[in-house]
Order: sequence, then structure tokens, then C-alpha cells
Amino acid sequence: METLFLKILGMSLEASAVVSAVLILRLLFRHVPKWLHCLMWALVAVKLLCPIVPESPVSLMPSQNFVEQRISESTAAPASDAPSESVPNVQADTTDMNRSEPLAPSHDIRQFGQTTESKPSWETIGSRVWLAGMSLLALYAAAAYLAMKRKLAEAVPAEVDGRKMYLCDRIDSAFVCGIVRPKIYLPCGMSEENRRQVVAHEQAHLRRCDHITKALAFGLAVVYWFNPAVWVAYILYCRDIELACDESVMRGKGTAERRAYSLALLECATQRSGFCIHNALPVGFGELAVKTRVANVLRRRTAKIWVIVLALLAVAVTGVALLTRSAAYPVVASESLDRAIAEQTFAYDRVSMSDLLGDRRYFYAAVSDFVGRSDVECYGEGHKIYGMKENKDGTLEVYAKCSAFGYGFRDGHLVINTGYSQVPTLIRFEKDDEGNYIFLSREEPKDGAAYVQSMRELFPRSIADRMLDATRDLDAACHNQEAAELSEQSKRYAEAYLQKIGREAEIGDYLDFDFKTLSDCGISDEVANELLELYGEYGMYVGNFERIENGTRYVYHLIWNDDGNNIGNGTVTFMKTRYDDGEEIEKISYQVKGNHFHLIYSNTPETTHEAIK
Amino acid sequence: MDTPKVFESEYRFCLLLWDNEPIKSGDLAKLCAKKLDWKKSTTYTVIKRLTERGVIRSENSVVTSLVSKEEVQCAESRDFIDRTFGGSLPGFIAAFTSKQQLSPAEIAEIRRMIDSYGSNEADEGA
Repeated sequence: METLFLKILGMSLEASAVVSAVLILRLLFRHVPKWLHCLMWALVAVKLLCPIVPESPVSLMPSQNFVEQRISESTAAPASDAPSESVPNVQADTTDMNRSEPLAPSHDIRQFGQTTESKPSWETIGSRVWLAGMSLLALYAAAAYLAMKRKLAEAVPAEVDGRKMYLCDRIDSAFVCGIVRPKIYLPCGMSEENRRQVVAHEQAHLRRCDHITKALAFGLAVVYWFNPAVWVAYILYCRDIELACDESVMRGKGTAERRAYSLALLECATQRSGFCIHNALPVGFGELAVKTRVANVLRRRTAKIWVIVLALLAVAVTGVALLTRSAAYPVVASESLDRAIAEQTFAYDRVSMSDLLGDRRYFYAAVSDFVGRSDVECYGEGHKIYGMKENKDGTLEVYAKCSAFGYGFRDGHLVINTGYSQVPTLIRFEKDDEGNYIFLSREEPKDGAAYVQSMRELFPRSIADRMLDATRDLDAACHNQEAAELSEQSKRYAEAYLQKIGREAEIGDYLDFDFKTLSDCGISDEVANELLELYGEYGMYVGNFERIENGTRYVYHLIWNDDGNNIGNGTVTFMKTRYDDGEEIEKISYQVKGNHFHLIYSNTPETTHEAIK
Repeated sequence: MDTPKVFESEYRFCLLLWDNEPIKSGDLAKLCAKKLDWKKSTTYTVIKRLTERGVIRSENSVVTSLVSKEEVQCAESRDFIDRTFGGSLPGFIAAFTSKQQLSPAEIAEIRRMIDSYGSNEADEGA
């Protein structure tokens, strides 16, 4: 309950800003049709209703409202000095409306400066007061509604202008009651003419769905009862609704109609019934003086189109600026930062540092040399920065998803043989006096069941959510697009490498090409597995791949020649050649027939592989 | 003897009764539900009230009227009204206008506004 209260408090603060903006807008656009003013109040309603606020670069609202700031300041874990350890960032999830998993017991809200448990914190007191106030108002409203229903029980149906409404001799003003099946109620004893005008007004209310929006506005005012700005908005909204209905009824009507309508207004407001209701104030709560409404009806304003368009634009701009919030961890992209990230990615994967420290003009080519795996002769990386945070101690935290790929030649193409993609990574840097980034630490979340939890511990909440969202099925397209982008980034390295070694080749993921295994060619699985065991160094795909051994480039071929019947009979050849001159280093051929294979050729002396039965 | 006052909703009820009496209260309730959109409880409340006022009689759950259509006086509205919440409407109800306290001078001024409207050019345009 405290979390809900704090969330409401935060939203209320932001809403006050929106109310102020709307008040200014209403002032600037005084002479537009009233429905525009009602539209402006819709901005306030959206702000009060939506707990989830999208981020936008053009937002005027801070990334955290005052309440959220106070909360994260008081519960943030102290900055860790040990770069290799994961910082247990147990940020108490107080802005918790978006959570889908139930709150773990360990994530209780931290008390603001309270260490003892016997004294209730201000959030608890506040939430209780809030609930109490809300309940009281809700009770009052419910009682008023029930009393109203009782009065209306004996209303009798009547037909006015072909529409069914209800006459009630226990009410003194006309109104609409009900949300699902709204009914118009009229007091008895109204003149025919007044009745016509009144019904037109009430019908306008129905058309505009005021019976729903006014109830909704009231509901919001009850929830945010502690915020005077919300009451101001509610009162003004009620007034705007009435004027908007008046204008709606009077649209296109002439002098006579307007006079009749004004008369109806006057008479209904002053109708001396035996039970003249004595209002303490001359004008009721949220209502306009009759004089104002009559003056509005009698003033035939022709609104200029361009003013209306301008007003609509102003509403849209205000909406975007105030109903969104700034990015919490704005990304300041720079080439030097990208390089720093790439460098430590390669370092992390044990790329030879001597290559990294070479000529910086050929950065991509320099780091693309890879000493390590034998099936990788070129290396590339890609990353996408989700957010950045500069700490007070001058360290920079980068929240990114990183990909790294190892390429090798296969069938003459430069193909990804290994790598990882879109791994959420937290990288810490320090900046030296010249503005260079010095690598401090790098962490990734744990795998498996602990993944989500460690994501939340590692990254700020909003960042973790965005990273997790991208991997859920809901956003598969986004996820794939990101994968493609990172793959593209990685290609630069491969391209530079090709240029460096003076070769041309297609670059891609091995999925881009059609590689077949021996089984795919029709050979029995038994034979294929046996051969794979004996000649594992030739890999499993039919075709060739290249490997650099002691500075010389060799090509490993696995060749399949079907004997024409496509039933898995034919010859399998394992051949190793030198790339430069094509000299055969090793060549062994087998005849395969059904489940048997036997050697038919070999140019290496130590071939002792025997046929299986 | 004073002919009893009957209010609008009760008058409509009596109309139904005069056309259908004598009628069992259960059937009357069904009839009111159909013609007046009244709940059963509402009908029984009205029957009870009108019986107390001597307008109708209900014996062995058979309802008959004690006054005729010609005799009854239809009062337009009641002298009393629930003073709950000052009689003002709840804030979430969309109404035409509320009752307001206007001095005779204010009323006259507004009347003047209405009467003089349309006769001068200043009323046209923005």
C-alpha cells in the first residue's frame, strides 16, 4: 500500500505541472470553442491515470519526479570499489506498478531514515491518511448516489422529441443519471419550451459522453483528494463541460433559439418551487453563474480555423512535452567511447593486445586479427548502448548489449564460426585528463534461472526492463532488428580484414549459406558418425574451410561424390591442401556402400583406418 | 372533505389502477414494471403510502381506489423534498443548471440581455 501511495504522490506532483500548463493554455486560447478546453483537461486525466510514462527526448519532465528521486537517493546502495564484483544494487522497487512478478520478501521498502521498526514511517502514515480521506469521500459520493437513486425510484417514463426520458416529482433540476444505461431525468412542471431546451442540453451531454467523463473526473478528484490542483482542474472542467454543451446545442442556431435557450437557463435556475433549495453560495460547487452561461450563449463567436488548428497543435505539443519523461540514462555517443567498448570486448575475449596497440588508423583491421581459436582468423564486435550514468566519483557506467563474432573462411566465404550475441553487459570506465576512457570492469548477468534476478541487480530498473523486454516474444521483431544491427557493425571488422589480406569474399553468418552434412547427402548415420570420429579435424560440413597453421594457410576439404543413385553410395574424400599453391598435403578417400565403408586411396603413410563391418 | 393531493408519479400510478381495478397487488406490480419501469419494491412502497393517505385501499392484497379521477387533484410538485446533502446534486452528475440565488436586480439584468440580443450588430462575430 505504501508503494501505491508513493506512486500516487509522484503522479500527483507531475499532474500539478500539467494543470498549470493547461491553465496557461486556456488563457492563451480564450476564444476557442469550449470543447477544446475540455480536450486540454484530458491531458490532466491522462497524467493522473497512467502510471507508465514513456521516455522521450523532447520531454520537459525530469526522468524521475521529486518523490522517486527521494526514494532512489535514500535506498541506493553505496558505490562499490571492487571492480570485479557485481554491485548488489538492491534498489527498493517503490515505483512498482509495472512489476509482473510478485514482490520477493527481501524487497521490502527501506524506511526513510528510520531504523527502528516500532515507529511507523511517514509513508505508512501518509498512505493511511490518504486511504482514509479517499474512503470518506467515496462513502459520501456513494451515499449521495444512493439517495439520488431512492428519489428516482418513482420516476415515470415520458417521451420528449421521440426520446424516452423520466419525469420525477422529487427533483428540481434536470440531469443525466447512470453510466452504462444513462437516463435523462426531468422535474415535473416544466413548460414545454423549457423542456425542449433542457432535453437538448442533456442530449448533448450524452453525445459528448459527459456522463462518463464527469464521473471519471470526480473519481480522480477523490483519489487525488489531497492535491488542490486536481480540484481546481475538476471544477474548471465541470464548467467547461456545461459551456461546451451549451455551444453544442446552439451551434448553427439563430437569435430566436438562443433567446429561448437563455430563458430556459434563467427560469430553471430561479424556478421558485415550494422547496427552493437554499445554496450557501450563490453558485454551487463547480457550476457557473447563470449570467455567464447566458452571456456565452448570446455571444455568437465565429472561431477562426487557424486558431483552432493552432490550439490543437499546442495541445499536442504540451502533451508530448509533459506526458513523457526524459530518458533516465541519456546516451552520449562518441567514437572514442565506442572504441573503448570494442577494445575491452576483444580484451575480454583474449585478443592479442599487441595488435590493439598498433596503428590506430587501421583500428578495425588491427583488432580483427585474432590469436586464439583455430577456426577463427578474424574477429568483429557490435554493441548497442541502452544508457549511461556518470557517477559523482568520475566513473562512467555503460549499459550495453554486446555481440562478438569470430570469422573463418568456409567455401571461400568469410563466415561466423563462433560468437555471442546481444549479451547485456555492464562496463565501467574512468576518464583520464585527456578524455580517454580507461577500462575498469565488465560484468554480465548470470545464466539460467538466476538471469532475471541478476539483471535487476546489475542494471537500473528501467534499463533492465528494456533489455528484458527486448528478449521476450512480444518484441521479437525488435530483438531481431537489433541482432541484425550488431551483426552489421561486426561486418566492418571483417571487411577491413579482407582488405588487409587482399581477398574478396562474402561475409555472413553460417546460416546465410547452405551447408550440408554427410548425413544430409544421404549417407547412413552410422557411417557418417564413424567418419566424423576418425576425421574430426575436417569438420562436419561438405565443402572446405581454411585454417592458418604456423603462418601458412591450409584448406581442409570434405568431398562427397555420389555414384548417381542417390541412395548413400559413393566416395568420401578428406583432403588438406596448401592455399597458396594448392599442393596436396593429405588425401584419403573411402568408398561408402550402405552401412559399410572401405579405404580406396590414401597418400599418407600412417592411415590405419579400417573398414567397419 | 379535502380531496387528497396526488403527485405526478402517484397520479400515473392511479391512472393504471383506475383502468385495471380491482387488481391483485402482485399483478399491479407487474403492470407498473411494464408501464412505469418501476421496481416491485417501488410499487409496494407507493401502495402503502397511498393507502395511508386514503387514496386507495388494499385488502387481502387486492387493490382498489377510493377516489375517482375527477375527484383527485394533481399537485404538480411536492412541498417537501429530501434535504439530504442540501438537495444539491452529487458532483459526478451532469445536469442542466443548478438552482441559484439571484437577486431581482440580477434577474432583470439577464432578462435585458436576452431581450436586447439580436437587435444590435455587436452580437455578431467574435
